[in-house]
Amino acid sequence: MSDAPILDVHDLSISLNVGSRMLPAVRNVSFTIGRGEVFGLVGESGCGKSLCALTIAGLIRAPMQVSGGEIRFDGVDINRLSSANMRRLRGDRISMIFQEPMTALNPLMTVGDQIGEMFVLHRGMSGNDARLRAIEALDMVQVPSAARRIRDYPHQLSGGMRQRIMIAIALACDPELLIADEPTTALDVTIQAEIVELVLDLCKARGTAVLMISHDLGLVARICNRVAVMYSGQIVEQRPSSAIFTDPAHPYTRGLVASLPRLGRRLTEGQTRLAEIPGVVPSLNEPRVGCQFHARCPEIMDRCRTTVPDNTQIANGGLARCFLYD
Amino acid sequence: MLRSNLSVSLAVLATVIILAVFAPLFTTNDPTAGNLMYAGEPPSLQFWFGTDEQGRDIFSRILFGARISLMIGLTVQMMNTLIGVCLGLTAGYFGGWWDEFVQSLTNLMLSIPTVVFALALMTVLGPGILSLLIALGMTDWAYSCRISRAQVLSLKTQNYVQAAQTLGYSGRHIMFRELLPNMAGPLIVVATMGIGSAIMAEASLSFLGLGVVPPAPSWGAMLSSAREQMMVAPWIAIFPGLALFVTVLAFNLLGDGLRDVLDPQGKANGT
Amino acid sequence: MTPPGDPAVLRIDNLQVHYAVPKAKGFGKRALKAVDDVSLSIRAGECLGLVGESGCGKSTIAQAVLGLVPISGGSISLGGHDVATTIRNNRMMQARLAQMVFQDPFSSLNPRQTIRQILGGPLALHDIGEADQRNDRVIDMLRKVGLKAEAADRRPHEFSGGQRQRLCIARALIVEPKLVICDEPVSALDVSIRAQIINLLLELKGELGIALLMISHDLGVVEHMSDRIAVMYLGRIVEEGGWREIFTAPSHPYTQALISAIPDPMKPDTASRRMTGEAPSALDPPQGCAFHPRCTTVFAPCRSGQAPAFTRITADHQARCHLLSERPSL
Repeated sequence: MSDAPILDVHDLSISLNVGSRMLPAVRNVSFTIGRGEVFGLVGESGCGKSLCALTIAGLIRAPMQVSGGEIRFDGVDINRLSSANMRRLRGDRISMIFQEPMTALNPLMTVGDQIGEMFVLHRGMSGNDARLRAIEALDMVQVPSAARRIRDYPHQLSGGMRQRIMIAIALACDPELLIADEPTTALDVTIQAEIVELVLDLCKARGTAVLMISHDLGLVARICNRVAVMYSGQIVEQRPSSAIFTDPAHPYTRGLVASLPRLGRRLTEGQTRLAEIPGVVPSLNEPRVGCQFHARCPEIMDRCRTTVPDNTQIANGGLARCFLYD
Repeated sequence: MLRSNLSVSLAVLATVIILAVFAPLFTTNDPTAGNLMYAGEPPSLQFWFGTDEQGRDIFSRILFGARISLMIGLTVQMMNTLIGVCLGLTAGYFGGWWDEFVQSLTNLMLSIPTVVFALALMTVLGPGILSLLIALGMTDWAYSCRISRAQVLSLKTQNYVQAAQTLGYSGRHIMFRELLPNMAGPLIVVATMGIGSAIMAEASLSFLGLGVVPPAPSWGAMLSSAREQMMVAPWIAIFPGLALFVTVLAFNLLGDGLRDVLDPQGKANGT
Repeated sequence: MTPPGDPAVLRIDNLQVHYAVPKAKGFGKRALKAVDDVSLSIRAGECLGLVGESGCGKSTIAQAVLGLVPISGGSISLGGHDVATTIRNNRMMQARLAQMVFQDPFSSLNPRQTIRQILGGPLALHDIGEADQRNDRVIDMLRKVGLKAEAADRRPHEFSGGQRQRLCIARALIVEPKLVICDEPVSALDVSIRAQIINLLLELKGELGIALLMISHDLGVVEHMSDRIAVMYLGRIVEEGGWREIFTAPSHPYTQALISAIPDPMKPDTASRRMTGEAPSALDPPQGCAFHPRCTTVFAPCRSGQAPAFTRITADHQARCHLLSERPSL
C-alpha cells in the first residue's frame, strides 16, 4: 500500500460556466505524486495550474466546476467526499500555502492563535497545549524568538516572516500532501531561496509530498523530482526534472527554456535576441481545434490544426502531448 | 432580479417623463382653473383621480406637477453634482489645505439636514421656483463630493495617471481627461439616487409652503392642501402621494440597477 | 554644474532623498534615508541595470529623476539640465527628456481612451511634427513596437498584457525622450511574453540611441539587457560596474548572494554563498556596513563606524566593502 501514490489525478477536466456555456479551463489532466515526492506543475498565468491545486484541495467554487475525471487522495476519490469529510482532510492530511501570505492570514488574529487553531481543530488539543505547539511550530520554521512572536499580528511581520507563518500553519498537522501555489512569487529573490529550502527540508523530514505550482521553470526544475508543464489547460509535457532543461521535448517547453534570460548566457552567447515564442496564449473563449499550441508552434504539421495529440511516451520516462513523438 | 430592477425603473420613469412632457395631450381639464361646482368630487370617468377642494382635476395637476418635480429634481441634482464633483475632484487631486477645507465643508454640510438648511436659505430668498432651485442645488452636494474625492484618491495611484504626469500633461487635463471619465460610473449612481431625494426635498418645502407658489401644481403643495380633507376626501392626498412615492422609488431603483451594471466587480459576481 | 560636452544623458551626483517620518515612540521626527549618497550616470545608447530587493530605494531614484519627489541633497542632471532647479518647474521639458514604463501594463493605460488618443495626445501637447502628420507618427510608432496600424482605433482592454506593455513603451517613446526608465518592465508578464518585450527594448535602444534605466530584481533580465549594473542595498549603491565585471567577478558579498539566489538547474547549487535573514528597515539601518547582519564574511570593522567607502577594483568596477580595502586578520 505504501508504494501506491498519495495523489492520483486522472483525466481531470474543469470548466468555467458562463451562462449556458461551459468553457474548458482544464482538460484531461493526469498525474500522480508518490509519497514524499516533490512534483512541480509549471505554466503561465491562466493555464489552469492553480485551478488544479484548488480542486485537489477541494476548494473549487462556482462558476468553476469539475466536469470530468477523478482525484484520488490515498485511494479515496475526493470528489465523492462530503464537504464535512473534505474539511477534515484539508489542513490535516492535505494543506496549502498561497502566493500572498498577507491575504491568506487573518489580520485580526495573532499568528500564535492561527497556528494553534490547527491543533485545536484537527487534534482536539486544549488552548494551552495548542499554544505550546504553536511556539514549537514557529521554531521549526526558524522564526526567531518564537515565544514572543506568537503574540504578533500578521501586519507586524515582513513578507518573508508571514510566509514562514503560513508554512507553520500548513505543516502543523504533519500533512501527507502540501500544495504550494507560487509560494515565493511575492517575495524578494534573496528570500525566495531560503523559503523554498525551508519548505523542502521540513517536508523531507516529515515524508510530506509536495505539489509545487509555479511559473518559474528554473525554480521548479531545480527542486522537484518530476515536472509537468501546462499550457492552456493541458499538460503538454511531463518529465523527470533533470531532463526538462537539458532536453525539453514539447515545442512549448523548448520555447520557454530558450526564451529565459539565464545567468552566464550572455558571456557565452553574447547579447543576442532571446528566442521568442510568437503570438499569445489562446483565450478561453476561442474554439478549441487541434493542438492548443499549434498557432504558436514553429514545428506545426497539418494534423496539429485538426487533431488533439495524445500523451506519447518519450525517452527518459517522460510524456509529451505532441505529434512529433508519435 | 438585479436586471429587473433596472428595466422596471426605466419603464416607470419613461412613462412618468412621457406623461409629464406631453401632459396637455393626456388631460382635458385645466390643472389650475378650479370649478367650485365640482369641488371635492371622488374619482370618476370625468375626473380620473377626482378633484380637490377648489374643484381642480387632480389627474391634470399630477401630470403638470410631474413636470415641475422632474425639472426641479434634474436641475437640482445637476447643480449638486457639478458642485460636488468640482470640489471633490480638486480636493483629491491637489490635496493639502484645499483638501482639508473641502473636507471640513463637506462634514459641515453632512451634519445639517438638507431640508433644514434649504429651509433657512428659502426664508432668506423668499418662496418661488428659482429660490427653491438655488436652496436645494447648493445644499446636497456632500455625497458626490465625497465619492469624487475617494475615486480620485484611488485612481491617482493608477499608473496611467502617473504616466500622464510624466508626459507633461497639465493638472486640468489629468483631472478632466484621465480622472473624470473613469469615475463616471459611481457618480452616475449617486446622481440618479440624488434626483429622487431632490424631488422629495422639493415636495417637503412646497408642503411647508416655501416652494412652488400656488396655483402652480406641485406634488408637495397638493399634499399640503389635502391635509384638511384627509378624512372626507382621501383621494386628494392619496394620488399625489402615490405619484411621489412611485417616482422617487423608480429613481432609487434605477440608481441601484446602474450600480450593478456599471460596477465591474458586481458584474463579475453576476456571471 | 555639468561640464560641457558631458556625454551622460543622466548624471546623478551624491543624491539623497530623505523623508521625515514620525518617531515610533514619543514625539518628533526622524529621517528615513530612502536614497543616500547615490552617484550614477547613463550615456546615450546605454542601459544601466539597477538591482536590489524591494524597499532598497531603487524606485525612489526613478521618481527623483522624474521630479516626482523632492531631493534632500546632491544633484540630478538630465540632458545637461538640473532637475531640482530647472526641470521640476518645467514638466514639459522633463517630459521630453525622461519617460517611464511601469511594471503593471494593466493599470498603465487609461481604459477610456483609444490608442490613437493615448499616443497622439502627447504629440499634440508637445507640438511634435505637423498636425496632419501626427496620425502617421502614431502608426509608425505602433509598427515600431510590433503592433498593427489597426490597433490605433482600439481601446486598452482589447489587448493582452504583452501587447499593453508594447503600447506603454510606444507611449514613452513617442515624445522622443533621451532617457526611458523601465520599472520591472517584464515581471508582470507571462514567461513566454517576456523575451518579446526584452528583445523589443534592446532593439529600440539600439535603433533610437536612447538611454535606458532598467530597474529590476531579476538578475537574469538585468544581465541580458544592461551594459552597466548598479547593486543597491538599503539606499546605497554597494557595487557598480560593467555587466561583465559584475557577473564574472562580483566583489560585494551582497552581489554574490543575489547572484547565487537565482535558481538555475544548469548550475551546481551555490547554497554556500547564500545569505540568511531579511533586509533591515531603512528606518533603523544597522551601524557600520548596512549589510553586516546578513553578511557571511563579516569581520570587526563592518560592525561599527561609517559605512565602507567605495574601493575601485578595476577602472570600471567599484564596491563598498571593507574586505576590499583591508584584509581581515585570519
